[in-house]
Amino acid sequence: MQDVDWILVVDPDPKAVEAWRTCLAIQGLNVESVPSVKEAVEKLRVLRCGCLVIDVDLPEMKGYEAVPILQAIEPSAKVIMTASANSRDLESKVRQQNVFYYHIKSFSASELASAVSDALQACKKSQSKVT
Amino acid sequence: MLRRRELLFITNRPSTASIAESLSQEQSYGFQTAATPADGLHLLAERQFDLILLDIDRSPEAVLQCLRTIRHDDPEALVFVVLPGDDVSTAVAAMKHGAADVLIHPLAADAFAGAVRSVLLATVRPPVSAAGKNSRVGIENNLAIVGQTDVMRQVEHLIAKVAPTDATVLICGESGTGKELVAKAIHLQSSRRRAAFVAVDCSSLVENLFESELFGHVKGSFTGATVTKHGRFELADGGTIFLDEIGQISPNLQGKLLRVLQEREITKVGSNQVVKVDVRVIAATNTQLQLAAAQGKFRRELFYRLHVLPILLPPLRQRKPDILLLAQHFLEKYRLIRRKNVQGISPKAEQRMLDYDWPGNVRELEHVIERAVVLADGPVIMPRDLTYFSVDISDEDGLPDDGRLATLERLHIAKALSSFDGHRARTAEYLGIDRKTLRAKIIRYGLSD
Ligand SMILES: Nc1ncnc2c1ncn2[C@@H]1O[C@H](COP(=O)(O)OP(=O)(O)O)[C@@H](O)[C@H]1O
Repeated sequence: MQDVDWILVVDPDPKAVEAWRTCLAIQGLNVESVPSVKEAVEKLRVLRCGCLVIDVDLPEMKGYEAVPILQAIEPSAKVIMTASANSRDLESKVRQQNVFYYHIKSFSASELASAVSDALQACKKSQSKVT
Repeated sequence: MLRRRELLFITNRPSTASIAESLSQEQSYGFQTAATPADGLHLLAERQFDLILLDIDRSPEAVLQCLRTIRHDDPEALVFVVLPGDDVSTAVAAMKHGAADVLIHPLAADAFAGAVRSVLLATVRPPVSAAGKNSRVGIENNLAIVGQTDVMRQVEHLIAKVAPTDATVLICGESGTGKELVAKAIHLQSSRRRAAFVAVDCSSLVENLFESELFGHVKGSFTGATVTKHGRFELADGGTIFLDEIGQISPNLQGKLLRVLQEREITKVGSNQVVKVDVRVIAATNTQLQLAAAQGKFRRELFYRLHVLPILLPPLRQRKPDILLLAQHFLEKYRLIRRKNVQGISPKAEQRMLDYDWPGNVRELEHVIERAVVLADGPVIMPRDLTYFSVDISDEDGLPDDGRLATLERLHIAKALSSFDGHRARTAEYLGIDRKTLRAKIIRYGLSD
């Protein structure tokens, strides 16, 4: 039940995972990563996460399609969606999901770190709003 | 006490009848079938059903006629109509005549089960015997605002009045009183209902990220190309944006928001270009915004812009007659979600709920009922199943002689700690407080080991 401080990165690109790990670890945050939705589902069965960083391009489906699946397992987790390139149509699809923050990968990594830390706070706040 | 949900299937198609039967068993609905429209209408004259499925192998006119008759006799009847996928004009006519949904023939078990669940979850029909009083305030697109007090009826009136106007609305009330629900109701009753409803918590992101989320961000990448993040305002175009906890936004963003309200335009971070937006703003606050404006902590011009049409949602403790009605509404919802055969609430448990102050308002009541549905051993919720946010007042152990809140709190924390084997993080999470607060309380009440 405890430790909503964990962050799960769902991204098949090892370079991106490494970058997120580095910038989040500096802040003392606990990061786990998986390359696919299937593995994310398995991971969420054993790990409680306060924040999911999901990339738009996943092997099995689009990241925004994975949001409802992963949120069904971890309803209180806040979702940050990342994308390498953006378009109005893509962003509109992302925003139709319950997404806490939308991060464009070419923007600074510290922005992502800051969003993750806000997401963890928001997750705790919504849990304490009456559990 | 709540009844079991009753469904009526008017169908002469064996495949539909068997889907209906297995769904009813699986989701423990009661059901009746009628093989002809006449038989169906006969049953409807005798009693009320929560949902009616109309799937008959007849001409489109005959199907529509049957739908019209059902809705004429009971304008609130929820009717699903099954039609061939290519018969768009009959489908449109069915929706015009008030069908709750149109499903495609041949009926697919999954789609049907999903549609039934979503409609029944969102709407609770009060029994007809409730003195002819309809206690649902404005159901629009399956959004139920439950309440029978005068103040909630006034809120209903206000929603209906402001919804079509496109005006900015400010909803004031403590956390959990239903501000977001009211905002959604306004959106759904407005001409913008087919466009997006975007809810934004103004307190959750640091200023620079919040600005980029709201208004968008333009940035050159190292390849030389510019990348644009459009932001919530631009993508809510044509729809409604709900700014929750508006009192929390920084002075800088207050100024930018004022410009959106005045000029209907935004500028993205990193860009000078002005983008026109057509977005209705609904804001909410749980603080005294007027006071903040008077004290200069919140921009006055923005306050006056927002305060054109205020809607006040009183705390639940000031609308006691709604408590049991809401409790029944949530009982029905979680009974279905949790698939538990919990039918009602004992009078003693009801009294306990009426005596409680509900500091977390309707949200807390919803959580209490959800938990009670999970905990209940039998078909009725007992006082012991009610675990409140701050105090567990199950009557199992009786009340301590000293009725002070601090004594009850100490007792409750001690019980929670022991049931989590002294694990503080879990106890804090269960109690809905942070670990620091728990630690302070453990010290204050001398509970450390
Ligand atoms: N009058 C009501 N009828 C039915 N459900 C309600 C009512 N008021 C609040 N709720 C439910 O209570 C919960 C909290 O409401 P919400 O609108 O999020 O509150 P707020 O925005 O004021 O914090 C939601 O699940 C909402 O659907």
